[in-house]
Amino acid sequence: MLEKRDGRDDGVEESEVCMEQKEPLLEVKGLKKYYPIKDGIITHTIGHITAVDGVDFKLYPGETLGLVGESGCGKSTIGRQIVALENPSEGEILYKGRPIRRMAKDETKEMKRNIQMIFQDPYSSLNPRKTVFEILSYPMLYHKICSEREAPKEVERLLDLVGLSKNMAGRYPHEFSGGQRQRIGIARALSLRPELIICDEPVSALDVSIQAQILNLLKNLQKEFGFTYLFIGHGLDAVHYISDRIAVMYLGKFMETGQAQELFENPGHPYTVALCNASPIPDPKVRDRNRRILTDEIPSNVDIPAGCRFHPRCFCSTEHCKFHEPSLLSVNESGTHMAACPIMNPLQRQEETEACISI
Amino acid sequence: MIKRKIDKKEMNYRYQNRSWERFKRHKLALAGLVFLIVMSLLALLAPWIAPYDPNEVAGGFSKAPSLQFIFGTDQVGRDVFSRLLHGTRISLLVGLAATAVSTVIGVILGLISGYFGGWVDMVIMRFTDMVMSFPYILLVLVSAAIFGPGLLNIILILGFVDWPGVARLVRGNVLAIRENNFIKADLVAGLPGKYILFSEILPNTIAPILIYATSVVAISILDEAALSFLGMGIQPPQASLGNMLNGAQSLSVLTSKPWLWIPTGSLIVLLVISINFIGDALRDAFDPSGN
Repeated sequence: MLEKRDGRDDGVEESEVCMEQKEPLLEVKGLKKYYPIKDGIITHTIGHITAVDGVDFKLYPGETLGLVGESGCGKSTIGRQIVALENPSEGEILYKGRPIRRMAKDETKEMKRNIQMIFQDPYSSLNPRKTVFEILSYPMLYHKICSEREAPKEVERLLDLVGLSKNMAGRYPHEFSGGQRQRIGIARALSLRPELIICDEPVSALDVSIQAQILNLLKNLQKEFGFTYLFIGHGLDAVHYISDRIAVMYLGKFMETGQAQELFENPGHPYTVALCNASPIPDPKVRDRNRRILTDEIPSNVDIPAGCRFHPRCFCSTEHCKFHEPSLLSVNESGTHMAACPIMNPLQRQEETEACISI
Repeated sequence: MIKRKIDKKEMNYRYQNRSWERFKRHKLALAGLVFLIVMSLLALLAPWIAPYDPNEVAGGFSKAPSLQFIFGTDQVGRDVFSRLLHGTRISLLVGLAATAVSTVIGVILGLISGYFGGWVDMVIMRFTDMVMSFPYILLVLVSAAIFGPGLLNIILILGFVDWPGVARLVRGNVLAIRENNFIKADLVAGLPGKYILFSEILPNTIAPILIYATSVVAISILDEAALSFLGMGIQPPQASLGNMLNGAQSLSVLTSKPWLWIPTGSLIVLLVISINFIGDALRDAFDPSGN
């Protein structure tokens, strides 16, 4: 049986306090990932795609960190590095303080059990030739979570947890709808009793009513078992709904990080403003509101703009932005809200503007 | 537990049923299947059905078909019909066995190549290209000359020549299946490569392998016929469809003694066509989106 861990029912305020004391479950340090571009008759590398360009963050037990950004900004790449599907070009990923790439064999096995992933496309994430029972039972048997005799019971329990009927265990994936398949994918991630679950856009392939169901399911499971989530998504509403903290990514770098509520109410970066404005509000009265919407294409991540990488599309960029790459700076007093824009930053505005003038 | 098993059985039944529906839509393949089954039965039961011993001199030389010898007799007076039944037996055996050999080699190399990638893939694929780029019939003839003709050698030679196609097919499939999220989920969970390769990837490549294998059976039958016709295959007096045609090399036989080559020749053509039609129908039967 899954043991219930200390719940998170005490709310966000509590977890904020805890964060300072708790050991991070996962720590990402200076993560960079470049993909080489090969060309020529004798293939050689002619350049690099910069998917992730130096990202640092910590994940604390029981919290949900949301990663948002446009397609191709490197959100999913971060997820793939954490579950060790790919090797980072630079930087380190520490799981409970130990680098995931340099673990002993049994330690790696334990780590792999503890970090699971839910995939975006529920159609390719289940083997079409296997029944749900076969899909769910083998990983549990391999990790010795249950014996062969207990397996049918355990599978039934998992199906029950994700809201599927027990007698569906004998069916094949093609007999399920997208939402049901996603539930099976979630059941597979749960089956190994992990601590951390990487949710790689788990709802973007589903229709809206199902999205809400899946998000609530994830939330309830977290409450019950105390999972830590890294929630990757581009639907702002979904990310806002599920996350405690949010990191906004643009072309491989964090533009802003902060508590979900704070970040949406008081965005500290023009990109966040644009993202918030881009998400539709289902109310005809505000249809003609003034919105700052990004119209032009996202620059190629082969040739990232100099200075602030967002400046070509920014509505408040200055000369200074073209030459100086800003780092994440505190926006509020407590330091929980950081943004990489000195222009919009109320704490930094003075000196940075002066620096701008001096150039 | 019991309920689950019933469900699964029922599912398999439904799946197979739909595949059979799709197969049945090919009338030619259905006819081919019937023909192949009949010929296989006749070939299997040849020792009991054949009116004469295939190697026995039963009548006059090169006699035209009569009631006594329905397809006539060959140049040394053996019954053509009896030899035809026994020859079919050998030809089908060579076709199936050579295909089994080449499929096993091709599947193993294809799986390794596609799954591990990198330099392993590079070495195996270049070797595959090398085997493919040899003039086929020459390779077979030279091998037959080196290892000597004979049933087992023919099977092995044809088997070792036909695998590159299978290997490439399997490799391509593995590369495509490997990109699926269910494989990534296995990798994330740290499941062993043995399981991923044989339990997740291989079952998803069975259909294309089977379809390809049917065409290899047809090719192997033709190759055996060609090789035996040239005298490098099954050695007389043992009958095979190829060496029965060997006697029809001269122009006078071709024009004046058609019973020496028309039954044999048409049987080879019909066998090969039937197998190819079945392969076509299998392709559709295995494709669930074809409904």
